[in-house]
Amino acid sequence: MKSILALIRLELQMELRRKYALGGALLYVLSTVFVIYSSLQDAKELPWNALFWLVALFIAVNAVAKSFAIEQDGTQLYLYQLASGIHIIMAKIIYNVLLVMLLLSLSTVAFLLFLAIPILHMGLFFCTIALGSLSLGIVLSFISAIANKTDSSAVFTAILGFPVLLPILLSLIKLTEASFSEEMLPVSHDIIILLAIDTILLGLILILFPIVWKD
Amino acid sequence: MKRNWWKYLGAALVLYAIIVGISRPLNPGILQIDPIALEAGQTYDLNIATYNTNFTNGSDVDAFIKINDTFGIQSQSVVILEHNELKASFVIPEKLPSILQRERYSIILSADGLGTFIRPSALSIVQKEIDLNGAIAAWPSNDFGKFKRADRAQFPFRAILYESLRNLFYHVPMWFGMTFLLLGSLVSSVLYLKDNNIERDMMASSMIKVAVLYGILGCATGAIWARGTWGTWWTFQEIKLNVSAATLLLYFAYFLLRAAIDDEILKAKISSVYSIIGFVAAVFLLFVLPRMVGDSLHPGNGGNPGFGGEDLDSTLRTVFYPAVIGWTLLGFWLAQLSYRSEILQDYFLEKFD
Amino acid sequence: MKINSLILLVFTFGISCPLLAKDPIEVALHSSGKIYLVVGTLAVIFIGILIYLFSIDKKLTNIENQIKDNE
Repeated sequence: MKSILALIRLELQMELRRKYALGGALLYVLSTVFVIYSSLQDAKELPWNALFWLVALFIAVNAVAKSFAIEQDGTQLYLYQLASGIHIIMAKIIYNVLLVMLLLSLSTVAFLLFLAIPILHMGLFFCTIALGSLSLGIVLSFISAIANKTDSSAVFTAILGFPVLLPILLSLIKLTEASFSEEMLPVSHDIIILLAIDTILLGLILILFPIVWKD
Repeated sequence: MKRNWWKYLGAALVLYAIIVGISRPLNPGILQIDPIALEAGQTYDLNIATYNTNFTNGSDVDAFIKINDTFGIQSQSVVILEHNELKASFVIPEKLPSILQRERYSIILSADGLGTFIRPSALSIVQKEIDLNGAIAAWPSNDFGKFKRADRAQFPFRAILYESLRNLFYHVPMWFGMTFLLLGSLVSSVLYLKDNNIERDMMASSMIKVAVLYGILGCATGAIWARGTWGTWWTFQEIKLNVSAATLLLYFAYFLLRAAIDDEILKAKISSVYSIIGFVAAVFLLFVLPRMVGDSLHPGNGGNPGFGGEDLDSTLRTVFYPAVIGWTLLGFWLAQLSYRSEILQDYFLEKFD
Repeated sequence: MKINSLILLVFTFGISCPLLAKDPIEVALHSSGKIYLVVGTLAVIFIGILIYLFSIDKKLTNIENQIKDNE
């Protein structure tokens, strides 16, 4: 447990030093919102669901893809050799989940402020963001670990990540659609599915990551 | 022979599915009825066009109108016009066994050798006053005992599908085959990670290769079937099409991943790990999501009538199950061929390097 | 003037008539009870498997050539 916390702190320190992911992602949030704002001025009924998740995916994939890319530092390698595989991936996952949650919340705020997105059930929406961050964080952390073994890791994070994320995305989209609608739609099934798929994938990842990491 | 028995079995089952699946005739069916809007208390000559019937002047055909599985009347006379057309005269009683003014009634034809066939809710009959008790006398119970049985095995008749029903034996097993092959590749990948025997990874990749082939064939044959029954080659409204495409994307990515890594052992490890994660996603896509969405164009889901009795008619089942097994075994045979060629290539590459 | 408008009328109908004609695919399907869907399905599956077998065959031929070259 202590080593996990230490590893998380390490990630945070590296992030604060370089401001790679956070800075880049903030830029993504603001620029995508700006693009949407300026290009869709006249449209009355915007496809909010699609827009939000497009932006969310874009931001999440880019933010997490960088998390494994900064491996060339000597000090990092030394510390990683000391810690066990499971601790490393747990730390990365927790860090990425929190990072994605922060970024998605920022996007939501940006959408609310600048684009007046018509969210009717705030509680459900934020619950969805939380679940979404959890799923995206778990899956993308592992996928970027795999993708890092190829030459073009950013490309492969996207290529490998999107199909695996599809069932998760479909459920998330149904949830946010419910938060836009006026009636209370039944969403318990989607939430259960998301939790189930997260649990199964997390379990598998914890088993599989050490195998990937041995190199 | 001992080692390859399953290949020959697979081939035999597929041959059986093709021969019986094409040659067994469809149940006769009712295509059109004229007129279809009737009034109580009138006499009508219903002109009925049928499918897959071979009426002759001497054919003994009975016609019935029924509702609710309880009330029915028999026609006064049946005159054969053509091999697939007849005229049935009905006297509709004054009172109808219904609490509504207008309701839909089914029509049944029963012929020697062909069996009994029905078109549910085909006729709309209107009554001026509603008198349930008076009606019950005029509509004898449905227990006619006159329904004839067919003298040969026949596949169910389904409107819209007609003969394309037979695609059940060729299109659907593609997906079953793909699923079993993916399952096999999962087992192979897991075994590889356990004992690091590179041959297991080659087996996994061969199985996924054939799984993708079956998936593509399933989509292509589905598109042909859809063009003829739904009117369009593809639609994004249908969940099963979307998730099938997504699964194929996932395994295309698997091959891209393999192509991007040169070191054999790393390639094997990474692609095995990805295929395990991908399998979980594929299971959710192919099996969980369609059940959740519910609405579907496919027969048997989303309120569409299924293929037969409850879900599969027994005449269909005797060909469908062997077809699934046969096509799956054939798929494993194709995978084994790919695997053996990979092994040979590897072996000779090492020998001559 | 009258003749001109008559010609225009005939011309319009002449153009639109093919649009009223049935889609050849629909005609082929309905008149044969859609058996051609089944024929198409089997043909596609057969062709697909054939392509796959060709690719395996090619790979084996390559290996055989490699052996021959190296002997």
